[in-house]
Amino acid sequence: MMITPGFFSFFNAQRGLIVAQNALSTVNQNISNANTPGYSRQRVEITTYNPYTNPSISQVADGGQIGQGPWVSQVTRSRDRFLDAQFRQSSGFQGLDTAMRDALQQVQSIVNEPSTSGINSSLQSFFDAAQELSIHPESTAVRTQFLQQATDLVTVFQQQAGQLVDLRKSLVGDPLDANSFATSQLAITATDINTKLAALANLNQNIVTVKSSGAQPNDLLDQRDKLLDDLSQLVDIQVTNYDNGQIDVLIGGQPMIRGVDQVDSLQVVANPGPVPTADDVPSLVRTTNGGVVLNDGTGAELGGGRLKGISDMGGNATGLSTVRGVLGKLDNLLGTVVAQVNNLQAAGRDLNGAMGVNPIFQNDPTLNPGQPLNIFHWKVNNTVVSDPKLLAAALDDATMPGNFAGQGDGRNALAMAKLRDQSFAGLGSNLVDYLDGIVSKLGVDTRSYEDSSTAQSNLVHSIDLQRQSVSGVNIDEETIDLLRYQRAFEAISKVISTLDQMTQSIINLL
Amino acid sequence: MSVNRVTSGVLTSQAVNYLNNNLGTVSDIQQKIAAGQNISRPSDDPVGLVRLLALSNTLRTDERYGRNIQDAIAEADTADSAMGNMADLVHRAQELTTQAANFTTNQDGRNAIALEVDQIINQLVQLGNTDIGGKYIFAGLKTDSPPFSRTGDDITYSGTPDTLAWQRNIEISRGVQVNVNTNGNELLGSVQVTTAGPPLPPTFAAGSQGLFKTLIELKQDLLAGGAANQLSEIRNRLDELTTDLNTVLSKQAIVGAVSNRLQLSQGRIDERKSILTQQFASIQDINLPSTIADLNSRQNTLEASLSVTARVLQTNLLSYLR
Repeated sequence: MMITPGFFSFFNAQRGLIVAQNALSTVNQNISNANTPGYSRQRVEITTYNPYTNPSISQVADGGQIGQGPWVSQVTRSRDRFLDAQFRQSSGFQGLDTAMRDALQQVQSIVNEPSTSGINSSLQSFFDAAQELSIHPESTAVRTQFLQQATDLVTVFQQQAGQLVDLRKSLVGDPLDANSFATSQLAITATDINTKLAALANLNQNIVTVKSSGAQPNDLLDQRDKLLDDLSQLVDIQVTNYDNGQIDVLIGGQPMIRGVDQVDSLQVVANPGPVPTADDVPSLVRTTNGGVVLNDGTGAELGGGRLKGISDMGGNATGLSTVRGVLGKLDNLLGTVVAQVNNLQAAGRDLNGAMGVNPIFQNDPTLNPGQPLNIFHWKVNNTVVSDPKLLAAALDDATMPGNFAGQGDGRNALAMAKLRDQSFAGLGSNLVDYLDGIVSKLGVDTRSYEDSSTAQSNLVHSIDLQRQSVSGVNIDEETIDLLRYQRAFEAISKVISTLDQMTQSIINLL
Repeated sequence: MSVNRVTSGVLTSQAVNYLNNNLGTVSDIQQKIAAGQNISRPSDDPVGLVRLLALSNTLRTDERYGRNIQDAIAEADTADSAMGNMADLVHRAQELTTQAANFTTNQDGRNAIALEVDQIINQLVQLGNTDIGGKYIFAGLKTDSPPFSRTGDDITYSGTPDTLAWQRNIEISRGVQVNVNTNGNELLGSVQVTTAGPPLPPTFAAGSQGLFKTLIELKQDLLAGGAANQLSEIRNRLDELTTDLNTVLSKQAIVGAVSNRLQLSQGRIDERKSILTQQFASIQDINLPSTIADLNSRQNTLEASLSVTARVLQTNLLSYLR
């Protein structure tokens, strides 16, 4: 055993002080960032410094090695990559379900049933007026009332249809308004995604630089993870990790970020497809450079996230009460009422005994021009409104002289009233049941997305709790560490002062 | 949920989550109480909604049928009272005819009776033209103009003839229609004199029939003076009047039966309405006492979780290190 050099222990103690200071500053960092979203608790990894081996005369190394104190090998962050992946997947579904739920709730409030002012009520009032007309066909007041109800019916349908078109426009844009694609929620979400992608590429660059210098870019990694969390809510992403710290990000299987480069972005454009395709999916989400369409139901598709929710509700999600789906059904309903009533009108005789040559409802394409659906073009014929005698309440009865039974004949009006309970092939049921079907389907769909978005939120929340359990800062823990390293610092200081006294007593001997 | 390592972030985000959930429940209940109904939007209860829509549709149609029935009853009652008056007039005519057929009545007396018969005819024409708000109820489908008009001893019926479809039907429930009107021609008949008597018995154009023909013939018989078989002719009229009276009475009986049937239907609709309204309320109306009790208990939970949160979030080691 050789004697160690006199000042050897000073260096040992110095390392101890440095480690304690490092540990304390990490505690400081943790406590300060306890409430920073996305922050991961950092830990100093402390190891012993390379031991010193004494040389000896007989052999290269003596029997023992002398420790040289502690050293900080690395500052790591506590993070569970598996939980991150789970979180992002659930978060994507949450974004999807919440977007669907919000839009469905809006459709629900537009359709406004059960109420005393919705389509159901107007439809019933219209057929009530037809009944009244069948009992008092000679009364001008009753005829005017019938036409008033017909006008109300068309108005209520058109109000709701207009609101639905506006809703779809705000979701995904409207072919009639070229500017609406850029201001739609779909486009705004896509822009948000692009901004985040650019930030990710930038972070990738910094992370690779820091890593290559051998350091651990903990805070940059936290920022990147936070961005990926946020991004996963907007759109379903696939992430590939590389050893040098960089990641690739793919959306719908299309590469967006390759290492330090952002290779592509998303854009929203009007669907150039022909009507009726343009009706169903008015705007396309596609990759800017690759030109791959991600929401047309063919090939690469968006997997989840808010972007898909908006696109589905505004476009053509088969089997759901989408905005366009409900609009189409209302169009079908009004179309059936109008066609059937007009058919009866044409086959009947008016108060003057003439055939009902003037249809009650007219299709006027100058009303709401450009709208592809007829629901926007129906109106009550002004000729009939200004002369209610032209309503054909009577039958065209060949057994009667002049085919006209008289002003008291309300049999054709009764046939109109009976349309309410008639089943139509185009609807698969009668008018009122068809409407009730729309409303109850809407209720079931909305409820199911309300429930599933709540479930997904709970899931996201519970995964986040698990993540925080791993990555979160516990103030008590940090306080204990604070005390621990403070005491360590004091102890080492004591060692130094003892060494100093020892050295001093030796110097005093000289 | 249980977490292995509790961090301050876990505590706060759990606390926020619980508080939000409790607050959400309380606000849902509040909304229900404020609206007073369980289903304001379809998604509140999609299953209940289906029943609710079906019930409200039935209630709505029944309400319409109820109004149809009221209209029908009004017409049936008006017709009933008009026919009652007609029957009274025929009774009077019978009395007068019996009187006129008596040997003790001289020609002056028969002339006076003829005058009264003429008045009866006028009143019958008036009754035949009974209307409800301008709607002539005995005119078949030609309800816009009075069906009977008298010119001299000719009484024409211009409503829908009984050989054509003259019925006005009112729908009183799904697919069930009731005929509410009576054909004036069947009820009172019409008459057109070809050659007036006396001294010969009068002759009538084809198609002349019914009460009006009998009465016009009676009147001419009464005025016939010393014609040969005058009294036996008048007695013949008496038999005819009995037949005509029976026609009026049987039509009145039909209208009465229709009115009864309508009253029954109205009763059924009212009964059904009270049952359906009850069912509707059982789905749609909130149970106020239990909802308020629920609200209280949820509010207690909310307050408890608030106070627990306040205490837990304050606790940490630093409070004890001095």
